[in-house]
Amino acid sequence: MSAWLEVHRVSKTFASGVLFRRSRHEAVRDVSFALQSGEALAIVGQSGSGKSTLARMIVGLIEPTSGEIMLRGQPVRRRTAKERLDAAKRLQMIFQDPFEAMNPNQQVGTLIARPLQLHGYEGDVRQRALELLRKVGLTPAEDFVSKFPHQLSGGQRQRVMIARALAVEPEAIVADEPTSMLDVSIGIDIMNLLLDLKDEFNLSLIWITHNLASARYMADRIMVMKDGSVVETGDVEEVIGRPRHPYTKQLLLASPDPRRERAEPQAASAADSPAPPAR
Amino acid sequence: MKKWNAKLAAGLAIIAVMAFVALFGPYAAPYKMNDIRFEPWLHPSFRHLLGTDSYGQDVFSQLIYGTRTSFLVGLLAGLMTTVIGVAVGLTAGFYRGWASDGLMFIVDLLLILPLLALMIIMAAFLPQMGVANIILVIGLLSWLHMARSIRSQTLSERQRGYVEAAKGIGMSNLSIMVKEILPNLFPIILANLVSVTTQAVLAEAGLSFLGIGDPKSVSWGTILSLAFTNNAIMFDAWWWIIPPGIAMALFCFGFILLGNGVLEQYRFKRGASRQFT
Amino acid sequence: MALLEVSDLQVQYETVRGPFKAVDGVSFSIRRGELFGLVGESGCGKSTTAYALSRLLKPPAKVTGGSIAFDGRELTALSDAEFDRIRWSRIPIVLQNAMSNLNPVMRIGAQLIDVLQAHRPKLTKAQAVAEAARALELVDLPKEKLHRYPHELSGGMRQRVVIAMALLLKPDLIIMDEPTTALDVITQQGIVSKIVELKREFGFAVLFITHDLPLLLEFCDRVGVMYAGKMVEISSREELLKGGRHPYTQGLLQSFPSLHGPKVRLKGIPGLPPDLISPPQGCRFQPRCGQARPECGVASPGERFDEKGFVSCHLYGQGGAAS
Repeated sequence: MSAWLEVHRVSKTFASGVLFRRSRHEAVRDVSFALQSGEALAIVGQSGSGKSTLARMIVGLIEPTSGEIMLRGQPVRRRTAKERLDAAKRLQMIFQDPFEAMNPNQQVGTLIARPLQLHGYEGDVRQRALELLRKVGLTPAEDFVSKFPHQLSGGQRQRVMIARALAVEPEAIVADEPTSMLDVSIGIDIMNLLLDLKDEFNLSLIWITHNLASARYMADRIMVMKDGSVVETGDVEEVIGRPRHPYTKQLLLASPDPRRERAEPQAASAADSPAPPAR
Repeated sequence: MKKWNAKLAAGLAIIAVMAFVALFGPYAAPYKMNDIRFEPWLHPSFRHLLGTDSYGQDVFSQLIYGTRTSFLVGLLAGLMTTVIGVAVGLTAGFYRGWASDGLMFIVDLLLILPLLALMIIMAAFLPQMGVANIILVIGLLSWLHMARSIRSQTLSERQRGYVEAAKGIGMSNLSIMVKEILPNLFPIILANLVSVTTQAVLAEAGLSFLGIGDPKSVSWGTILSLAFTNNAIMFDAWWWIIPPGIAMALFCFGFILLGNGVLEQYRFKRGASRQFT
Repeated sequence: MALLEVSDLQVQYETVRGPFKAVDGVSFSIRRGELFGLVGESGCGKSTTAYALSRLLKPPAKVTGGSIAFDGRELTALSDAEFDRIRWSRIPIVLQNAMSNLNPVMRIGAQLIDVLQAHRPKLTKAQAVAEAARALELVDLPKEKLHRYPHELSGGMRQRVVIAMALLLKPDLIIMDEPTTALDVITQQGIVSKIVELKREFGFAVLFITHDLPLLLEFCDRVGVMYAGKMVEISSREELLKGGRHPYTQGLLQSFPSLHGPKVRLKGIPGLPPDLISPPQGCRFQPRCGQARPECGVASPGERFDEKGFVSCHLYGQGGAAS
């Protein structure tokens, strides 16, 4: 039985520059993985690992340079407007910066009504929007409907964006570091909200993060990426408890964890982030 | 809560008065348009508020009739220019690649040529010069700057996260352009609209002045044109030369005030929405 | 005597909606050679405190009360000129995004030499170059980086350069405001280890400001927890590893998922931080506190200094133990 989502040997190379000064940057190299329906997978990587690019390819915002992405065994096509709409109904993305992802001149009500109208919601759009706002914990919903993005707090904005993603009634949500710009105590609320919604609507979840602990919190399986490639995949407790790849071990040692028994900080690690690619 | 601001009020007042004159003036003008039974070169008096011209027409009446034409040309040409400019700019800014770059290259090329000269050439090809054709000539050629400006802003908006998010929910490119980006371009469209409308009025005056305008209609430009060709300067007939100029300046000034006033209101209502961009 | 003694510091901002106290009566002290962490979420006033200490507050913010005593000297009483003399030589500050604050058109070496020569005019060029090279060596950067421009270095390396710059004049206290927030976890660990190592070698104290409490608990001696402009707790690392005393600290610790131990649902802290222009009556954390008592909504909690440190909470009444 084929998995719900199958990513097969996907790569993405960005070319920049003109004529003789072209440079190529391989953001994602030959990545493959599968996701079952209702499963939560965390993709962990530091900046430059390619995780965000991979996330955008899964959701269709970027075209892979090579490789295939398949849903229920069928390759995902996004060529016509109808195909794009259908694909959007399957996978929705929650972005890292909710403020950026919101049109500053649109009220919350419009933001949520848009996907409803787009996907042909047949009931009362306003009522449904209010319902969705309540579902993500923004009550009283009537107060929020007329607010502009700049009138909301970071956590509230992210909840609005989650409501917007839910409006489409997707089968999966790809969350690209949605809490990294929020305070931790607000972030944990958002994480719990996503976990609850996942259970309630039987959604699949792809959780993109640089933080191993949050990956453990959110997911059943984990995939560690470095420099565009996958270094280790597996059950989250397995990978964290018995890491095999040296990079995973390094990540684990470097991640602060107050509950771990440790007398003194470890010696400085030899690896430093690589210098940025020469221009 | 500032629901009204000085610029908006002043601008609206000026333009409203002019619009009123444009609409109803011809019915209320003291004398008919082509009434030439008066003595020429009369100084302003109670009977002729702005004196008479060399043909014996009442200048004041001419000015009133002219308001309708100039106003119409200015607004319609301005509107046409805006529609074309926005359409081209938005599309060129949204779609990247050789089509967009190519289009902009042509625009840049055309921008080098002097606008008035282009209009003269285009006018030369038209069978006759009615008011409609003048509007067409001005409207079809003035959009170049505006397209560049709109494209610029569109390029910048296009990078914003909300465009990506809109794609994410499955919106088509056209929808994104029109429903997401276009509303955010309001300030720059408005600024350009004011600019091209005032430009249109002046272009009409220019064309008429050069004798390419419609000889049968009366506009501020034609008045000015006739004044010069009939040596009004030599005759010290300031009442013939200055009023049309003032009318044009007043229109432009009023329109600019109106535009700025609307912009202020828009910004005020939006509050700090763009503060942290 | 403590190296740095901050008493009842107050910093006020003027905004369109009225004045608010970003820092409202904060007191803490740092001993020589101590690694002191200052933690809190956005709006708590921790960065403002750092700026106040370094006299980097931009109007409309200003220090409106309290004292800052550094090595016995009252800093608030110094003139701007006097403060400038000690600013970098004794209390340098490494700012958030300091790596972006390196001059992009000057080579690294030139910037380091700039600092040296500004504070020690008698230094010859050759001596300055040697010291700059030594400083880079201290942070494990090769000498040849002296000739590079900032954009040629990675984020982690740039942060090391800024730290090297802070060490140039052998200060007693280095203030660091979120120095590793934008770096990845492995680079972060390298930098933090290096700071600890250098501190051991040179004996300077560090005021490390961040929102990342687990990070602080990896290496700090004591941590001060701030909320809504106030200091709510100052405890040792051990005390915090046991869970902390103030309900906010406990809630904060409950907001960081852990890599080890059982996988449980974390509670976090419900609600939002208060509006500092019109803060709530009584304890500022009370609206979100699960252990609130009737007096919490009425009277501000007092300050309690005891053998465990400092806590400001009605649960720890004056002289009485927490019930």
